[in-house]
Amino acid sequence: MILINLLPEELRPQPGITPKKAAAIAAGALINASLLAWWGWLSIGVGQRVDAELEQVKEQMAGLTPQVTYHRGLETEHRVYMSRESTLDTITSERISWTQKLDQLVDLAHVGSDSSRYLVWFGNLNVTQVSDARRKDYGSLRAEGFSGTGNFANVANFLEDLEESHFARGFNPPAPPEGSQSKVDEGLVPSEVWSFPVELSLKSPEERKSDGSK
Amino acid sequence: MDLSELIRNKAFLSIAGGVVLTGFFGGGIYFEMEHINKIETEVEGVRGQITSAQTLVKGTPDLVEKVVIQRETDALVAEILPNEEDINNFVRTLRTFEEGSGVRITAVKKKSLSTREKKDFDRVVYQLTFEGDAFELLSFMHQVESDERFMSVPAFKLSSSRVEGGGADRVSHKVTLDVETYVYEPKDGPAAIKIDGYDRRVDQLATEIDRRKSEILIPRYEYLGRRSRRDPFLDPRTPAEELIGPLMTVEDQMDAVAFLVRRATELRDLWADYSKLDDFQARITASSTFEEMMFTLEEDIRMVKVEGSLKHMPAERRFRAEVIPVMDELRLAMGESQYGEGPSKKLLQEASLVISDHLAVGEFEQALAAFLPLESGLDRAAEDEERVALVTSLRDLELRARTAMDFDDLGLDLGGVIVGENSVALVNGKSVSEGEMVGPELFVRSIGPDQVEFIFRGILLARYVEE
Repeated sequence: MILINLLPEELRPQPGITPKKAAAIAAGALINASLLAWWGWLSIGVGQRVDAELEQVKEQMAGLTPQVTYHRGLETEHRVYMSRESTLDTITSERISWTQKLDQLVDLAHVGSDSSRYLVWFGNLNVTQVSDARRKDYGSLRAEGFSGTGNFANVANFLEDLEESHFARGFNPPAPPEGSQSKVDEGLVPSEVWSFPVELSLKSPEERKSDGSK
Repeated sequence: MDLSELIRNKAFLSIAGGVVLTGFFGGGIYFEMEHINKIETEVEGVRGQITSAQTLVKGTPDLVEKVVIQRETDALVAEILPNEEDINNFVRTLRTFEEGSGVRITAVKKKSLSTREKKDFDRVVYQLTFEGDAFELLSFMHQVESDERFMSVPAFKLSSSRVEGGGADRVSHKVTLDVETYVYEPKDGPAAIKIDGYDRRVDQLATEIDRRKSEILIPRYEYLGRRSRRDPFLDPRTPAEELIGPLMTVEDQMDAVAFLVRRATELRDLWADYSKLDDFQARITASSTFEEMMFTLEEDIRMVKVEGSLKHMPAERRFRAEVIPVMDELRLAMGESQYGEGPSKKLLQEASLVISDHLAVGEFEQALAAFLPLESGLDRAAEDEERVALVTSLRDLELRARTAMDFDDLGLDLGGVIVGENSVALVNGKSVSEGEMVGPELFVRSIGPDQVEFIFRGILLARYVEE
């Protein structure tokens, strides 16, 4: 017997869900449910935790900010003072006590004449202190020296004593002795005089400091 | 199949709906993760800032200390370096230096500067021209360099007033001297941060502040003046006419002065040794040597002065610098030690003990020998209230020693004694009883079984009876 379904197409009963379809629907539903759960975990679990963490560190930072501002303020003040001190150090370290130097030169001339090693005096003295590190020029002391003797060795004696004296600290060694005999004056004792140049160049402030002279 | 059919297809709709949902959830997850990553990065950043801030803040106490020290030392810097007002007073200050040193300032000029300007520190240089001798220049320069305000001399020139021998009364070297200073006017310093308990911290850091201040303070040279030295910018030679005649040659003068210097030095050493001596006899010996040397040296110095034999300037200067001061120094030391006022109290006490010891054992000659070196100074010592009793005691001991020696010289022969109600002694072959006179100023005081006591010149003396 043949049964004929006369119901229109849309009213006819649909065939049941096949296992494949059911599996596909279940998989789709599972995936979406998992994604929804992950999203939920991320927003509620992790998201809130990191937000709270951010809030916490921001609060901690806010607590430290006044201390940092205080520190920065002190640092600025410290830097300004450091700069002033450094300038002052430069100013003072460059200074030479010329009273001391001249006093020592007077001593040297005096002691030499008393011990008869030499009888020396000066016609002039020219001292210049500069600070040109690029040209390594820190100044000089120049004088026109006279030695009251016919013996030029006395000039060498003087320059030798000069080099070994406290006066020479802070100066580079003097040039080797040179000079010429001035006119002979029979009206004075000793009558013969040798004239010689005294030329000393200053060391750098750092070298002077390590030399122990100011 | 057209679109309307597709829409009517339930399977298709289900699949499409599922995919859309998946996409929506996936997008949600993606954006959530992006948000979380961003927050985490921000957290890391803030944590980094916290770590840096904590490290920074950890150093705050040290920084506070440094700033406190710097603030306190900055006040000193302000004291050392002149301000505008000091610079305005500069000329007045120079006038004070001029008066103090004896130089004669002829020009004061402010130098114009183009370079070397320092932040907060304005360099100011004055050029001075003046006249004076080397020691006036030194004194002036010393006042400049040791002023409470920082000043330095970066350059100076001196031209000697005379190069050849001669004797002007007033030496006037021509000097040009630059005086440099820095005016301290802080310009752009930050406002001082309030430091809690500042005064307390200053107290706590007092040592460190003092140390730093001492580093900043510029060491000052102690200039002690001319000290009999010659001006090295003057020709020291002696005019030949001053050396003509019976005067000593230059070499002889130098030798003579060297000899005097040697003797003066020797005398000074002897005095130093003498001052250290504790032993009585050694002091007596040293003092007699010292006095002899002192006397002869004084005499030679007097002769040199009277004869005026030192014409050569170096010899004369050495004489004035190394002989005269030594003698002055010795006289002063002797005065302070009462050397010139007779023996000291301590010496008199020591002498008294020594002489008493000698007398106790019958060493009369040694007792007198110990007394004699002191004898010449006893009158001077007796003028001192503190020593007069000791002097009297010493003189009494001396009298006893001399009397005992004279008593010995009498050569009394004590033959024997009979002791009883009326004791008798045989002296020089004659029997004498107690109270009887034996010779001039000599009485028998008592007669015992083993000794006879005499009164000689009022002093009790005893002689033992020989067995």
